[in-house]
Amino acid sequence: MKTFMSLVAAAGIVLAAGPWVFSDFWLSLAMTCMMYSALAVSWAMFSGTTRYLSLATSALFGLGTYTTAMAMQHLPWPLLIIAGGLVSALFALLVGAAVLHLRGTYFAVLTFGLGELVRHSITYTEKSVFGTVGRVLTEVPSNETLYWTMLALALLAIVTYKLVSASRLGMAMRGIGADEQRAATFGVNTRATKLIGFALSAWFAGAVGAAMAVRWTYIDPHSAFSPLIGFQTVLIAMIGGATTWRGPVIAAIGLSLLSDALRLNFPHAYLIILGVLLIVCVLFIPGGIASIQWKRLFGRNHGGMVAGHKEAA
Amino acid sequence: MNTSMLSVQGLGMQFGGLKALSDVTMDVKKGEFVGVIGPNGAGKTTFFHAISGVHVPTSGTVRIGGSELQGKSPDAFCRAGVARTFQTPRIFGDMTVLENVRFAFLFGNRIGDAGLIDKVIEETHLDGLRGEIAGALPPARQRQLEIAMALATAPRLLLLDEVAAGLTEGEVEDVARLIARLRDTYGLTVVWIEHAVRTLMKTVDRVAVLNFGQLLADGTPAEIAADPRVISAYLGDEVVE
Repeated sequence: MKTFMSLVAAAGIVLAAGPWVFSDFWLSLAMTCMMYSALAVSWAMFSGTTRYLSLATSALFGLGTYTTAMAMQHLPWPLLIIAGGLVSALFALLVGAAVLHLRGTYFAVLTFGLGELVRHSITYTEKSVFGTVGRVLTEVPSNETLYWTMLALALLAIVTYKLVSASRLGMAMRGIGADEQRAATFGVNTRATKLIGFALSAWFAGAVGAAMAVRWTYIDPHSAFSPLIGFQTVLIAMIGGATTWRGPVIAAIGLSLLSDALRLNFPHAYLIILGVLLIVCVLFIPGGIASIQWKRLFGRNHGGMVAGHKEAA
Repeated sequence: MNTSMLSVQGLGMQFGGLKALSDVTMDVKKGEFVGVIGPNGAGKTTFFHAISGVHVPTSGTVRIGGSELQGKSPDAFCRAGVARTFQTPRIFGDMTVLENVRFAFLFGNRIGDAGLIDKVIEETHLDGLRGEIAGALPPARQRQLEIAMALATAPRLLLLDEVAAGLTEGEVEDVARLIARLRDTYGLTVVWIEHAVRTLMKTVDRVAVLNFGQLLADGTPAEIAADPRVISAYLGDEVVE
């Protein structure tokens, strides 16, 4: 754990130099990488461990975005990010209380439907109460501030993932993912565990949304609640391997770079390649990129068998 | 009332048109060792589901140590001191043996000290398998692991669902001796479902017979073995001879 923390700190210091090293293009790309890292790692923290497939990321992200759009004038930047996260976490608690007894596809479809519900509610409120279809953000913080915020959120997501997985909450979520009813027979309060886990993961989606809001100067429900962000997050986490933090980070970086390169050259092939990648992953590496045992692939002689025998003896 | 560990009254469980249990009334005293037998489909496992919170009974009451718990979730039953095994072992397959027992201890045990983890692993003869992935163990070992996990929650009432299934007669005897010893060590109340009737009869204080979801008979092993209804419904020639 100590080496892990120092590694994270080192990565933070090195990456914090980004604004002085990168061009605007690369800085923006790095921000996308970090955004999807934070989203996918926090998604994996709950959905990867409990196997409750949440499609609520878009809704949670959008709620954060709208928190910024509405409270920008009233709150300083760091508080704005925290508030965006809290709005989403609160929403997740309410929604979770209503739908977390459902499993599998029912849960997935409901979380997706709730996102749509939020989007339409906000569209309606904006039109009838505020008489507007979108909001223009003025006086946004600098690109550097945004970069450092995303970096901080991505690292915080990774550290939280690590701390949670070693904690009682993480154990309980693992038990729920393996066999929820059985975990309950051992005294796990499954309802409270799922609610806390879901809300914690939601905080990150909201905070990331709150930060990213300033990247677009014009915010309307259509772009803030774009389902693509939610789907991309789930795809990235699954392609990377949703039971680790490493997998989602690797996949977030890989896919962000790939998609940008492809989007510039073949704007339509990008989604096709993403789809093919997902199919390949599900078929051949159901545990994701992180589950590939590189040592076994490249050096069969040094495989785990020998070590296994030693342990057994 | 004070000495009753498990008290079930008018317990009924209906799945659609099927009555899996109807009007089962039974009382298990503190420290008692009760065997439950009955033909396949008699409702034995459903009975366990209903008294451990896994299923909510459609009628009747379930009291554990005096408090009514029907309709509560399995973790409430665990807190009340109920621990159980499943007919098909339900262990956490991705975790090691030690992690499994630690899991049960971490969530099911609010008072004990962590020394219990090692103790129950030794007592269930899993010493050498601590680091093994639980899902890779043979079923008989997984059943032992389930017993270890149940014990790690420091239960008062232990429910065992066919922990000796698929074993040879000699091995079944070993399991029976193990359960009897654990019961003495931990002062447990035990309810044991088993098809190995001969061994069961020798081990338990009392036997309850379920048939078609109803309690057919309830008495000492000698009484049950002599009961003509039980013989015709279930035991058949095996005991008569």
